[in-house]
Amino acid sequence: MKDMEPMLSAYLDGELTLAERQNIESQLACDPELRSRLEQLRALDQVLRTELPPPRLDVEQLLSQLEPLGLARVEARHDRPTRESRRPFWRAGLTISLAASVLLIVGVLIRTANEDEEVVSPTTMAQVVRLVGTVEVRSNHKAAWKSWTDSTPISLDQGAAIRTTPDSLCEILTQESATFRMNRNTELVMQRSDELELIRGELWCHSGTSPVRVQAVDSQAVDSENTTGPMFVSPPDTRTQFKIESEALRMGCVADDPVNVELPGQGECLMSPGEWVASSMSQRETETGQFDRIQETAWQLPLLIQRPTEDEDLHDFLFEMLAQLGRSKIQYLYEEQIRELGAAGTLPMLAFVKSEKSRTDPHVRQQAMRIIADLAPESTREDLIQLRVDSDPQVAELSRLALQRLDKQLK
Amino acid sequence: MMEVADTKMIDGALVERAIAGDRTALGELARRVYPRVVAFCRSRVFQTADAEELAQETMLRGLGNLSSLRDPIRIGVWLRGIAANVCFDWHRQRRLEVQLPEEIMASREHGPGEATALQDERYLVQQSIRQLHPKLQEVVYLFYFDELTYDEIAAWLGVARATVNTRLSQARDLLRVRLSSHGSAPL
Repeated sequence: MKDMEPMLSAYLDGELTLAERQNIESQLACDPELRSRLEQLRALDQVLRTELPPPRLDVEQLLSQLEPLGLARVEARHDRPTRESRRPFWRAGLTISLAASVLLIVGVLIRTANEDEEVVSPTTMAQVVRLVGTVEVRSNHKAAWKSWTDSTPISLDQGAAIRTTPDSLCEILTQESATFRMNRNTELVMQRSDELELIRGELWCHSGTSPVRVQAVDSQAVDSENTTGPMFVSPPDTRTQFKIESEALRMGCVADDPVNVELPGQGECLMSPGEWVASSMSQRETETGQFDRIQETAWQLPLLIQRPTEDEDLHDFLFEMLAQLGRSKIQYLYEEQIRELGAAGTLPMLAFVKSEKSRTDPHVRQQAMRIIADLAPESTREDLIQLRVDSDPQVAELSRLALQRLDKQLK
Repeated sequence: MMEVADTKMIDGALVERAIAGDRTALGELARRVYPRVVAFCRSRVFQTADAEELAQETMLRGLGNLSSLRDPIRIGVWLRGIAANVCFDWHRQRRLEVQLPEEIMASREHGPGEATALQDERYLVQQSIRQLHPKLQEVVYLFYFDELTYDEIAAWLGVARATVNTRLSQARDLLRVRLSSHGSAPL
């Protein structure tokens, strides 16, 4: 009977072809249960027709609201600032007419008036709470980039941009309790605490109490009129991962349950765990596919191991995973390749060196420690202090050298 | 039965004429798309009055910036995108506010009797629709508000005709079960 429901529904609505209609009528003639279901559908249809009267619009009133306001005022009243609208006015060109200039000034004045609260008291949208390596932050598009190398919370105000280097990672906590983790070589702009522009790289997101909007910026189109790419909306309390690659924004579902997301220009879509969907910068092409959730999110491990947790089992589990990753690196990668991963790449190896299991293979342990001594970031100082008294004299010496290097960098 | 291409062409032609300054075309376009925008807002916001207010806000934003619509036949996708932002902002502002549905509030003003029973039934129907997934709700509203055909709904949402059929059928099935469980005869 369930299989017949769409057909029966379409029959009720007069949406079947002649052949389909004849087919279902012949079945109705000999199936009392089907006839009963059709009667139930008719009764429901009647209830819905009664309870859902068409909404009425006072068209004249709407037109009268649109006409005197003019397009500039409507835009200024309602639209959030777009990338284009933040451009300096001279970018509009020298041919701009006097009338248009006046409208623009009026628009700017209205917008400024509406945003007085934000201008007078700029609010912190988010904070960088975990950091591996160095990140760069600038408060707005005119300010200079400032580097941060320790894990002290770094405030991100509205409009602030942040970028990681080829060997750094960071974790951001927003006012809306959303958590973002930035992979290496990632850059984004915090438009609001629940809305950001992803310029390049990869971003893991756990939305908080409200949906999170991630919009791609088409960096190839910086000088053209429109640089905004597709936008994905991730519902509250959902884990997703975003990546810009091949001139498209890719969103992957890393949650344990299916997630209902809004796709650019296509409405809603139910994404299963391990499924990704990509939208091209022009938003004309969409692709979908599958990915390995563990593999695709493994880059976060150096950050996860830094997270203080009261759950010791969880901490031990994460530490063990990180140590295994470190061991794999040493065993399966050439030293040059490991060094190319930079400071963040040393963290799994440090976990490996600290693990009891590594002591069964002192040669591999010393090899890992040589790379750590050259590249380990400031955030590993405590680990290095512990290893300075390691029972293996070579490991202890390499730890001492690593600490000396960090001291020099601080000076 | 109207073809998908026809309904898109009608909308697209109205958009082009409206951009060119044809006031009648703008009015006709508003009249055509308003119930569909309300359908979207109703599927995201419970109360009818709120949904209609948000739909009007969407109309103001959308029709006030029609000239920025690059492809006139994509008016549906474009307006739904604006409506999504309007609803998103509304939810953000009212995140912590929890209000009783207007139908319950209205019924409390009446004593026991037929009026209350009718309002309870209305509330039950509205509440049952509200419990559906938003994309099922939207198809229900589009079908009953505007009496659109499956093809017209498919064109507006940018989905296949079969998807519309499946969603509407699924919504009806769920509504039938929910209303029956509350003793709403003869479902």
